[in-house]
Amino acid sequence: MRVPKDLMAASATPLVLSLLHREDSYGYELIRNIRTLSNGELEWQEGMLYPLLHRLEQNGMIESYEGTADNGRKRKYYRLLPKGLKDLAEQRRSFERISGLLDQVTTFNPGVSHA
Amino acid sequence: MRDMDQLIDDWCTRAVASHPELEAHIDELADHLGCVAAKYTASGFDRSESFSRALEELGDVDQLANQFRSAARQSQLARNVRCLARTRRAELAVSVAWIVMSLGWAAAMIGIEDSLNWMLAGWILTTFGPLSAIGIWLARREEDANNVADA
Repeated sequence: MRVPKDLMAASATPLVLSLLHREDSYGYELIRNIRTLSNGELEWQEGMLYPLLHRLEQNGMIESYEGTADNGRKRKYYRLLPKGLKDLAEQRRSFERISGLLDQVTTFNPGVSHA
Repeated sequence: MRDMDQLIDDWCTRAVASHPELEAHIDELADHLGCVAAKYTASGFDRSESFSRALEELGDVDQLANQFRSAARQSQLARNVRCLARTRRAELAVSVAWIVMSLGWAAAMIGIEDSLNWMLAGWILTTFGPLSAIGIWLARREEDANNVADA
């Protein structure tokens, strides 16, 4: 099952924040982890992720620091900041509300037709 | 991996030359390209093929640059809204202080005899004057902080 593009975009921020809540990470690892955790159903594009990371950093939700990869290249790691943690909690509540509402609506079947 | 590093460095040089806005992100993109290329190399592809596939996964560099520009604009907009909200709070404090002071002054002029008039006016000024001054000081301090943040 492929996740629709608009849903993928809406879920990207809370998922990035959740992944960084687990541990500090870098771009390629975030893409790989989300692919693994979703059993290949979520395929983030680099062109989506890196600008998002940049925006989250600008908004004070995450911060970056420099590390070194095994091959000696500079590697930019990201860590979650308190503001990001707060935003993650809010977004999680919003998703839970929508999910709950979806359950409620789909199980509510009065059998009324306006045809 | 020396050849691969060279391929990546050459690509970075070209990317920054055509899109200077990528300069701030180029090390990160280079690391990403290196990771993807290493994945293909480990799967048995030669270096050139691995690099081509890594570039293909990264996507069109023009589009990537556009997305970075767009993200920067959105960040800037969000910051401006935040600054505006902060400044508005200080402006509100000043406005309320001035309105209360004006009303008090008007009431004093209309309703009280001359001798009490000036006493009341003096009391209002000594009470609300500092409040206004504090409001203005807060507004200016926030503006300065915003300017430093923008710089």
